[in-house]
This record gives sequence, C-alpha cells and structure tokens, in this order.
Amino acid sequence: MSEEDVKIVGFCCNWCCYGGADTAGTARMQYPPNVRILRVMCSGRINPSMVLKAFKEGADGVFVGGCHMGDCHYDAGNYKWNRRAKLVEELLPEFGIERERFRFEWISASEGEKFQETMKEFADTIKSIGPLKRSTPQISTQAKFTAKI
Amino acid sequence: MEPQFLLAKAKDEELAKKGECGGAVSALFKYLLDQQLVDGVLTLTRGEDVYDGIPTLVENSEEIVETCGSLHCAPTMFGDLISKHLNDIRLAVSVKPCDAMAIKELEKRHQINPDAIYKIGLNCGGTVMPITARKMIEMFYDVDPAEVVAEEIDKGKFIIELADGTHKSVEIDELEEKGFGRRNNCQRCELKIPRNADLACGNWGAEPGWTFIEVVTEKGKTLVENARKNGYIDVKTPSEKAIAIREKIENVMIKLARKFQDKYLEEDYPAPENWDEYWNRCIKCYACRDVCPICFCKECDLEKDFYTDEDEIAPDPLTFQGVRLSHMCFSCVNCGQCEDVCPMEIPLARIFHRMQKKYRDDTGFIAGVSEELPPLYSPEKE
Amino acid sequence: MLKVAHTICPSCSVGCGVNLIIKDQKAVGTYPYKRHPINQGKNCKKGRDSYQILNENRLKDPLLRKGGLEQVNWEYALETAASQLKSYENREIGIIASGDCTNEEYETLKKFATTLGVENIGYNAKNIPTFNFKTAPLDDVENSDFILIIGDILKENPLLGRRVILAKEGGAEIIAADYPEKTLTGINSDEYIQIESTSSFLDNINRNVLENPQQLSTVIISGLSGEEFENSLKFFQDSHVKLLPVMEECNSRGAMNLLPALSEDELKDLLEKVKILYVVGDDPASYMEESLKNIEFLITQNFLVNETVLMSDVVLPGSCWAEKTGSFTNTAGETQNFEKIVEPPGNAIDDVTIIRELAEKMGLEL
Repeated sequence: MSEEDVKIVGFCCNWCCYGGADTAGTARMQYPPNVRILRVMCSGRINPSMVLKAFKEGADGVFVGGCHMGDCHYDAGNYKWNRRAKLVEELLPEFGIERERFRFEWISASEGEKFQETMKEFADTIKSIGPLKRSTPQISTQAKFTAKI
Repeated sequence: MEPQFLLAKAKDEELAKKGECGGAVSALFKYLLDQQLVDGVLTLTRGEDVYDGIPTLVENSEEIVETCGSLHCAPTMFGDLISKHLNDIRLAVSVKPCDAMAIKELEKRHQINPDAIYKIGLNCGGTVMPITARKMIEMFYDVDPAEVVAEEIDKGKFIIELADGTHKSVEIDELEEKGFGRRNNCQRCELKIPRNADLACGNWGAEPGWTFIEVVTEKGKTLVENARKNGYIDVKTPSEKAIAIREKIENVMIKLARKFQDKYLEEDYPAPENWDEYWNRCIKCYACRDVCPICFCKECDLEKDFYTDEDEIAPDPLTFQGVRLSHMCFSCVNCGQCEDVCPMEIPLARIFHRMQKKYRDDTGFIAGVSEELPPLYSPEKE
Repeated sequence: MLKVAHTICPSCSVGCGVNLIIKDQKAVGTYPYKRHPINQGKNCKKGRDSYQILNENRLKDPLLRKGGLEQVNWEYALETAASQLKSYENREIGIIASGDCTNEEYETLKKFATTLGVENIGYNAKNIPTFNFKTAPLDDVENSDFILIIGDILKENPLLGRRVILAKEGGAEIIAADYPEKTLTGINSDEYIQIESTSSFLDNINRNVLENPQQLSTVIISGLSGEEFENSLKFFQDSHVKLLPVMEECNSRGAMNLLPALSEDELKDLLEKVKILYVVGDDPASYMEESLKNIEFLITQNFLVNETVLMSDVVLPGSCWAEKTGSFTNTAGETQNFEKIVEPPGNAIDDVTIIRELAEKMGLEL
C-alpha cells in the first residue's frame, strides 16, 4: 500500500461536525478522499473501544469530530467524549500505535473550512507516518516446515 | 474525621496469645459476632501449611481463634468474593490494602453495601506467591519448606520459624534482586496502611503484645469504643515516638514502592515488541477479566460478536486487552490478580497499573482510595 | 454457609488444583488455588467452569425401565441389576469404564470383575494404547533446554502449555509440529513444522538434535491416537529424550494403570461379544449406538443424564468428583488425592459404594 492510500475513519457528530462536512461539501471545498465518514448522533456516543476496533480493522488514522464545548445537542456529550479521548491518547501507544494517528476536534456545522483544513492536515500527518504496521498473531509470519530436525 | 491512634490488645487470654500483636483484630471480630452486629467474619485460615491461606467465613465466634496468625504467602482477593457471594449478609472482613481498595470501588458501583460491612484493615508490606516462597526457602534459607511452621515480615526481612523454635531470616531486598520475594505488584504498591478501611491495624510502632490501630472512620471509632466498653479489648494511647516510628516505616516503604514503580513501569517496562510476544500467547480464557474485582458486569463487551473473530489464533490485543483497558484501567487497584491467574504468564498488572498511574497523574483520581467514581463516569460539563 | 475448598480439576489430564466456592451446599464458582504446585492458582476456562458439571443434568434417583425409565429405590434397582448379571454366563458380561473415574473406583471395579470372573472389562482409552515407561514430570518440561511438541498444547492443555512458555522464557528452544497451517503453539515456538503425516515427520527427524547429552530434551505428544501415537512413542522411547504423552481425560493414566485400555475397535468387539453390559462413567451410545443394539440388558452408572443412560434398563446414579473422596493420576503419572466437598444430589451416592453394594447383592465378597 502506498502512502497515498492510507485509510482514515472519521466519526462525526450529527449536529455539528457532520454538518461541517456537509457545508464543506456543498461549498465544493475539496478534502482528501482517504477519509471515510461515519455519522454518529453525538461524540458522546463514541467510546474508546470503537476507536480500537477501527484500528484493528485496518484504519491508519481515526478522527472524531464533535460540537464546540457548550454547543452539545445533548448538553454534555462532548465533555464526556473529551474525557474518553484523553484515555485513548494514553492507550494507543501501549499497543505500538502512534498518538498522532488519533485526532479529535470540535467543529460546528458552519465551519466547512475548518473541517476541510482539519482533514487535510490529518491526512497529511497520516501520509507522512505511513500505513499502520501492526504485528498481530494473524499477520506475523512464522518459519514453516523444513525438515530441520 | 481526624485520624486517631491507639494501641489495643485482646482481653481474652487465648486470643491475646494466639493472635498477632495481642490479638486485637481477633477480639474485635469476636465482639462483632457475639453482639450479633454481623452475621459472619470473612478472613483467612491456614490450610495444609503456612503457604496455603483459604478464605473462610466464620459464623461462630468460638472459631475466631482458629483464624489467628499471619499468612504472607496467601495472595487472596476478597472484593469479588464478597460482591458475588456474600452480599446478602452483614459482614466483617479483614482486609489487606488491595482488598480494601477493591471493596471501595465495588461500593461506589453499588456492588457491595457499605452499610453492611466492617472493614478491618491490616497493614501490608506485600505478599509472596506460595510456590515462590517454597522455592526461595529452599534456595536462600537452605530449609525444607515443609518444616516452616510460621513466617513473618519485619524490618525488611522475611523471617521463617521452624518447629524447634529457631528463626532464620533473609533481607527482602536480596530475595527480590534475585527475582524472588514479594509479588511484583506488591513491590510497586504505595498503600501500605489501609486508610480506606474502617480501621488500619498493624505492628508498626506498636509495643510487643499490642496492635497499633489507626481509627479511620466513625464506624471504626464506635466499634473500638464499644469493644472496649464491653470488655473485649484493652486500649491505650501510643507515645508520640511510636506514632513517629510508624510514620517513618510507612514513608520508607512508600519511597521503595515508587522506586519499584519506576523500575517495573518505566525503566524495565516491556517494549511494544515484547508485548506483541506476550499477546501472541493469549488463549482468551478470560481468567484476567473473571478474577478482576473491578470487572463486575454481568454482560461483557468482550464477548460481543464484533470483538470476536473465529479465525483468530490469538485474540487481537487491541480488541481484547485494549477494550478491557479502556473499560477499567483507570480504576485498577493493582491487586495483581490478573497476572497471578494468567495461564500464559502475561505480565498484565504492569500495563494496567501503568495506565492507572497515568490517569492518576492526569486527573488526580486514585483507584480504591478516592471517594468519588473516576471522572470518566462524570456527567458534568467540565 | 460459604466455604472455599481445595480440589483437583476434572477437565483434562494435567491435574491442576482448583478451589471450589460452595454456598449453601451448592458449588457456585471457583477460586484460585495458588498453593497448588502444578498450576499455582492459574486455571484455563474449562477449569474455572468445572464447578458447573456439579449442577447440570444430574441423575438424582435410581431408574428402571418399565416401558419408559421410572424412578425406583436403591434396593429394587440393585436387586434387578444383580439378578440380571447373575442370569448370564461370565463371558456374556461386559464392563466398561471411562477415563474420568477415580483410582479407587477402578480398583473396586477390577476386584468386582475378578471375583465375578469377568474378562470383558476395560476403559474407553480414546484410542491411546497402554504404555509402560517413565514419563517426564511437569517440572522437567519447565527446565528443558529443548522441547519438541506434537499437537497444540497451548490451546488444548494451557497449564501444560504454561510450562513450555516458562521453559522458553528460560532460554529453551521450542519446536512445534502439527497438521493445521497455524496453531497457537506454533506461533509461540521458535519453529513450526506443518506436517502431512506423523510418519513422514518422524522419518525426517535428525536424531542428533534429540540425542544431545548436554541438553535436557523433552518431547510432548498430544492429539495423536492409535497407530500414530504408538509409532511416535516407539520412535522416541529408545532415545535419551524425556517423553510426555498427553492423555485425554482427568484419570486416563490412572485407568491405564488398573484396567485394560480399549480402543474404539476393541470396544466394538467387546460389545459384540457380550449380552449384558455394565457401564461406569462412559457414554458408549454417543460413539457406537449401533453396537449397543445387541446388548440384551444395559446397566449404567453415571452422575449425569447422557445418551447411554436414556437407553439403559437400570440406571444407578453416582457422584460427581467433588462429591466423593478419591484420587486422580495425571498424565505425568502423579497421583493426587481430593476430598468430598459437597453432598451428591437427591438419592445419588458415591460410586465405590454402588459397586460394592451391587457385588453384595450378587453374593460376591470384594
């Protein structure tokens, strides 16, 4: 896989960040095609295991976008996510995944430009680190049959 | 409440003789059972030898005397034993600091009713795995482990007593340098005096034949006062010097624990490649989860289809230990049980303790000690 | 009300210690038995769930076929079984046991057969033939410099697998061989050899590696049966390596020491020869129902309801391991005693007593 083909999973909250992506789209602002957006109702719906699952399934980067503090449609969802995101940042390096592969941001529905900029920056970061190489039992290769003994 | 310090010993002669440090703890248990303030006392009894501690529920106060004596080679955990099997009775329990920490977290999660439990804390410098203890007694003491009738940890030494009354001791430092001695998680443990229990009892700073008690809660205070009034214990005030000695011992041990934290969680911490090797061994037997006192959920995410892959030879660590870590590492009390029971010798307590330490540094939350739930559970806008 | 008690795990032939949690006379869970030298408080999932067999599908009363199976009292059940056994010639009587009875039960059963003059006796050896040599103790596995493993030990017998892991951490070289493309033992070994047949694998082994006198070498054989097992044993038996065959059930090794090992073919032959069959612990209906059709009268002794029980003429409810005192011999040949912890349910009683009472009813003196 080349650097250009990195895969990014973007979890976007329905009320703000997804709206931001929409705004960027309708205004024909280009952002990297590496990002696959998953719409969730609130960033507070995301838990760390969803980020881990995304990396397990082959994501090279994971982005989570929510509303600005104080703007949460459900009052405090983004505060809750913010606390979890800090844990994700600590957790990923324990499994050999660089902290830079995970990013979260607050983007409102009107901030099409911020969405575009963030995606560009993040895709550039991931491209510069390259695809995620993990050595799991499934991927690791072992010496196979040789009648050595 | 302001902590109170006292010295206590059992009035009952047999308890005073057989119990550690004057048998004050045994006397408090006897009082609770006699007065029917509790239905049972959960404590350890000696099984086949000094290396075998068996959790025992004592319902008859006459039997308290059989539970006397220290057992440092019995790394047990009472937290989930209580939440799973003893939640329907009023209980008194002798707790090591890690037991007290686990119970505290379970109380916050409504798995143990704090009103139905007396927690009598025992100061703890650490425990030794039974088989490790037997090996090291053969190697360092040149003694057949079966001949040991009692053991004690005092002044940095692991002391054994033989049937003929002779004592032999070796510096714990020396044992641990060679990979023996206390369990790794005990070496790293900073909570030596269980101030998260109702009382914290021990021999540090105590006169011979007396137990030094730090009264932590109102409940503990009432218990000691009533046990004294009813003639179960003698109580006196320790000298300023005794209090200072105890504090000094505690500080030395905490300092040492921090040194071990640096060693095990930073300097000698396994590199990601080493972890990959460990994770490759995982047989996904769930022993770590099942023994964890913090993991109390009846329905576990780990068994959900989307984290399970039939073709996997070993589970992907991200969606096995990763998910487990994301669920509870911030509440890890470093009891070491996960590591103890892992059939594949994966040093699990290290990664969990390291993560809780990071979380503690970030948020100030100390698992098993802080009064509140971890901030991750907070609904607040903060 | 609550009790934690030591026992030996009945799930496989490694012989781990496990503590049972008993609440109000019922097994409700397991608790680590850290003092146990074999597994130090570590148990696999099967071991931790072993308490469940005490509570599931239990036989609580003696049963007798009267059209369907009906509850009867012990006296009647034993009387019927005894009179039926007496009405047949010795050569028409067959007795088969399983690999998870206690040593004491095998001894009693053997005495029963000898006194009665029955020669058609044996245990379901799951196609592992009798062998007679000193096997490697578990501690030797851990202290080995070189280990060759045939089979997926880490997955199938994790607490034996743990000894391999410890050996590896101590610097041992581990080579694993097995049929699948990948195994858990394989990915944790220095080399994994995917084999097509054990014979071609054995042909290619360089004996010099095994015969290195400087090394403690151990060969673990698991998952093989019949001829493959025998050939592998023969191959390694006369070398200097320590050999550890892994047997199937918790007391297969004990059964092998006391009763003839019956392969599936031999079991079939036995069933065709006899007219009345006394089954202790085993479930022949689950693997050769056809052959059971020739049996005129079937007596089954077990603690749980299985297919054989449902076909039986007389059913004698025995005890599950934690309900009796006895011993198991693990695959390394170590015999471990365990004590009765809970009462058997209903009218079930312990198995040695059942065999003795049946003998008494037949007028035999054991």
